[in-house]
Amino acid sequence: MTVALAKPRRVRSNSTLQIALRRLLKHRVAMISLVIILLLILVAIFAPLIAPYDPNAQDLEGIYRPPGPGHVLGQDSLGRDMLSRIIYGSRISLLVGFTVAVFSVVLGTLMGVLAGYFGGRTDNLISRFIEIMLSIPELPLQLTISGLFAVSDVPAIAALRDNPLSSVFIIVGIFTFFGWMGTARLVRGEVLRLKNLEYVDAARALGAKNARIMLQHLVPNLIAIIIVNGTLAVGGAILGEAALSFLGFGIQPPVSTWGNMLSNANEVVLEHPYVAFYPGLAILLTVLSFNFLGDGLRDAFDPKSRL
Amino acid sequence: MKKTLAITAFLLGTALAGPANNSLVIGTSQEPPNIYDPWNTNNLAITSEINGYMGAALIGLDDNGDPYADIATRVPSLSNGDYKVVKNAAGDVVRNSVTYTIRKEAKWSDGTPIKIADFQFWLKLVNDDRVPVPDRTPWDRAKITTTDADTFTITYDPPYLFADQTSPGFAPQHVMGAAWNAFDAKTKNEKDAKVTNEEWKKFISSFTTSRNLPKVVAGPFKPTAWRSGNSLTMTRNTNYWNKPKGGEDKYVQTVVYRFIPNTNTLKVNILSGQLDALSAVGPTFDQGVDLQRNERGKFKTYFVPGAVWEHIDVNTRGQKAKDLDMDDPRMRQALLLSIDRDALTKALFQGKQAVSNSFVNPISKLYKKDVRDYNANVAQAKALFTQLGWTAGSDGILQKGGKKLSLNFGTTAGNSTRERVQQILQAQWKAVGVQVNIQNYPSSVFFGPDFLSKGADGKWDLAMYAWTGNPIFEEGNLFKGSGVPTAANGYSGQNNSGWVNAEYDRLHKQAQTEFNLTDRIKLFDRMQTIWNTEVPALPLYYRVNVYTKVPGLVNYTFSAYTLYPSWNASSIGWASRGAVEEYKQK
Amino acid sequence: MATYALRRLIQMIPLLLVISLLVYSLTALQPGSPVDQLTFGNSNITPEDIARLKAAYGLDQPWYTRYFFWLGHAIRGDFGYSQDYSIPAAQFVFQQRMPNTLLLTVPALILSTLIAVPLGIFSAVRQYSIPDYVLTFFSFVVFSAPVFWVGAMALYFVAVYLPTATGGALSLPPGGLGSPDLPLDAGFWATTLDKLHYLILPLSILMLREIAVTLRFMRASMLEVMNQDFIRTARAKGLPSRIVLFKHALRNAVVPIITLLGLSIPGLFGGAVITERVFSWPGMGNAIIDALISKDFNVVMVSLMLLALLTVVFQLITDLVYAVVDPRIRYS
Repeated sequence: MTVALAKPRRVRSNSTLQIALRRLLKHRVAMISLVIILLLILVAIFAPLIAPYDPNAQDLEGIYRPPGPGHVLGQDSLGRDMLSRIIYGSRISLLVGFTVAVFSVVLGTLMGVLAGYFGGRTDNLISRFIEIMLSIPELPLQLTISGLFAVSDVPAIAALRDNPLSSVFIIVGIFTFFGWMGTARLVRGEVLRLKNLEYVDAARALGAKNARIMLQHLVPNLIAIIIVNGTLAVGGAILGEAALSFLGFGIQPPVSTWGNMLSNANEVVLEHPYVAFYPGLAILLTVLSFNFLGDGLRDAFDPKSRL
Repeated sequence: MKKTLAITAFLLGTALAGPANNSLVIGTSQEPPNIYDPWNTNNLAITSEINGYMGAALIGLDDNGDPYADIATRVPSLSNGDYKVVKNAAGDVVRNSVTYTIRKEAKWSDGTPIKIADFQFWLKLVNDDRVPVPDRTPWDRAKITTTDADTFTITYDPPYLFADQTSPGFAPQHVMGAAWNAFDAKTKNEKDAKVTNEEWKKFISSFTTSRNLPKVVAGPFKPTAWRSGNSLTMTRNTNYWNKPKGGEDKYVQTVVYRFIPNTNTLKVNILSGQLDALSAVGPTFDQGVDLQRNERGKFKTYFVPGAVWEHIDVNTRGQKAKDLDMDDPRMRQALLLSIDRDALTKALFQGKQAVSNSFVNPISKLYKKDVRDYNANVAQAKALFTQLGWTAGSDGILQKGGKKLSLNFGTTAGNSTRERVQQILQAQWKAVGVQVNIQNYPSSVFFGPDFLSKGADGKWDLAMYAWTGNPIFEEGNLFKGSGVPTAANGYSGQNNSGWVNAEYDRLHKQAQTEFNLTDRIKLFDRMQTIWNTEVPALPLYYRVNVYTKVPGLVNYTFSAYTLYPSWNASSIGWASRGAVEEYKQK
Repeated sequence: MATYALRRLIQMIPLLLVISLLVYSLTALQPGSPVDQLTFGNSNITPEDIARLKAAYGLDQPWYTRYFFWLGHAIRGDFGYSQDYSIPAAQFVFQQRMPNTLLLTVPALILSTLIAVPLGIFSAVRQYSIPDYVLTFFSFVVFSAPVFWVGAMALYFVAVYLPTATGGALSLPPGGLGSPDLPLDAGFWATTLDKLHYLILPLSILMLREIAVTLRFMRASMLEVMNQDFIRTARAKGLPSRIVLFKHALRNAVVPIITLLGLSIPGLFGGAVITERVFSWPGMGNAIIDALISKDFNVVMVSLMLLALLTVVFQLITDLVYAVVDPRIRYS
């Protein structure tokens, strides 16, 4: 969700990055968020050491047992320990968040730079494509695309399905596909502005190749957009996976994510509210941290903002 | 809720539902796309249930599976001569026929008598390719011949095993005939199926939808209002011949279906007393259990054994099945002995969904009680694995000749009960060294042309799904050898396991033309013994249907034979209004 | 500007055609066929039956043939019948689902705008004050929580917690569109009152998000304007801050809000998929998902094409309005 209007300012060279970093360090909320995120990453990495139980160990006697001694967050529909599942669930949820963020920002930057720098037909093609995709409601479109992957006979995709993590790949693919367009639009606008600046003209006059201009002169100036969007995309992907899971199109069991722990939350919420409560809380906390960090980064890159 | 209810009641100044105005408010989670389509071109459960209020039949089946005469004058049987079986010189049955006489008092709701022409009209359309009837069995081999104005004979050639248990449908020819003729004229020479289909929809939707309610019905209730997304109201049809005991004014006069897609809401509405009863298409099992805990004397919860059989097909075809010995009955027995189905149904269903050991429904007359029960027995299972040459590897997984006992286990994605069952079984198999990988698909893929029927290509190893079958019409077809889907037969048939057994096939063939029930039971005894020894599918349990009703509502019952509480619609009533109880919910 | 508008209008046609082709093909390539529903679990069905049914429904033809058939009829205003509801797809969408969706989305948009705009201004004017932090934190929490989770928690709150805590005196229905035991002839006021009672919960959940969005947007827009030179000049010239704020800053800050509102109008018709799903609200969002799952082509096409049309049209209208209110923008 990119609601704040503040436009990332132009950034020049590494010193701007350093300034931004210094400014970020002073941003209290962002720093708290960053600490939470780092903790989450540690939790994900050291899940086997932290989790009190095997997340897949079933206890048929303890189905839907509410929180209590032994199982502080209670037990789920198969008597598995909720706390351990949430701890392990962070692995896939964060993995999805980070991969989607990286892929969609890289793709978005590439497309945005191509569209903005070359203009004309390239720009037209990319912009029309984005326009079409944005004219169809996103969720139904995501459902249809995830449906396509579930049955495709293309050997590469069919082979993918044999992997238990296949639904993870599919979800990452889908969110990347939908995630790059926002970044591309922002990047394109910024490139349109930058490419007419004197130093780009100068570089071109000196005979620099297009690729070199793009890589050396444009991309460094886009660092603010890239970092801010990338951070926000992590949270967006985690939320998106949860929403698709809710509709039954998310990552499939046995792979457990916070999203699919919530997938039948609605059916059981009246009887066993805690089963739905804690995974949602984990999502909220994580996405909130990424959003605050993203906002802090935006402020940090914006010389006009007060911290 | 009480407060708002009080306010609402005060505002309206009218009594609420129930005995007060001799009405019945039923909650359901589904809304039918159309109602009283005589050809059942949509076969959703909720449609069938609601149609039960408006429909009548020559012969009906009651909760015990016994036939009774509705608009026919009597139940046809071999002894009264209305049911005839014709044999050839070799003693094989070549055709059979049933004769029905329509009651003089049988009328449509507009007062027009029900005629043989209505049956002929129905049969003609069932067999018309432009009419998308899902399943034509046995009507594609049926012919009607008229004896007199009220008596006709329907002949099945080749013979139909259950001819005396079923009866042809009928449709109001005097109402729909002209529209059909117009449809017929318009589409007779139409080559584009889509055009024909649109015309068909126009035709059928002008008699079956919320905008165009059925114009006449034959059963005890007729539709009076259908507010899409909200409710359907039916009132008593005084032209229905069969009056319940003591007169129809002592029974429910108005039935209102409320469509509440959210099962949580459905549940809360039951708890707060806004619904008199639930439809058979309602809450989930877990919600039923929770409802039962919260009855407080205001309503009662019932778990009715149904006709839906959950099982796991074992793929016995393809190279992988050979490598992993899945084509050997001992392997399948070992797989079944490794899992604790009793613990599973106890943990998930409080034992209310009974473990099954046969493909035949326990309430069917053909069911064999004393087949092997396959109670969990890990020691026996391990012995069988060893016997087959499987030994535990360093990772604990059984291996043989460098191959791991690793199976892909699929079911319909998004079904939370099945996903739970699947994960419990996965854990139990893991404990004996069988690695099971869960791979689920949307039901459209799972049942689609490229999955279940393609066992020979190794598309799956274990597949969990359900078959629905009325226990009356059990033929043992699911496991007949000719039902194995192959390229040669165009992937026809439901024997997805690919299991073929010569003796079973011989008995099955014999049973198909065995019109004597006692003899058929004997054949099925042997068939079940073979099946139970070979276990081409791992039987799990029969599902139950959950519903609730408030005390004092009588004759609102169903069983695995009747399936829906609407089968006896005419007699549903409130004891306090004088309704007499005929059937108790078992 | 007239030529600009006309050109944009003409460009819309190929755009919509491409969208319709895309939506149709994506739906067609989905797993399964509408015939599956008729044949699941029925052991009497033979492949011949399936082939016959597919032929009867025209599904044996390739999707592009069916697409052009659809297109040919759609251009003439004939959107076909709904597979699942047996009535004309347009009738289903416009008469049965659209009114329910609008009943939910229009009040949500109006109410949340009325609440969020003043809050956003307040937040901007008092930037870095405690209320500003509280509002910012609120917005971030709303953006970061899964909608369906908030909905499910709200369900528990109103259907279980509230009645238990108040001894049954207070509760809200957990979903649906009206009381089951309300007589059909209950009269306009009783019915409306009853409906409102059911509307409270989904409306509140929907509004949370819209308030958060509009609030952040309004705040940012206001801050942007307040930092501009002409406002600073006005302040420096000693104009009372109230006048500067409301006469100059607000007028300029509201422009982006118009854009936001314009762009959210198509969404009004599309419904809120997740909210509708959580509370079983029989609106467009639910209809689209159900139609996609069961491959009810005609319903998918009518609803998605309508939304696409609204999106492109309102994009154009917004651009044009923008040009009228903001003299710096000129289209040629």
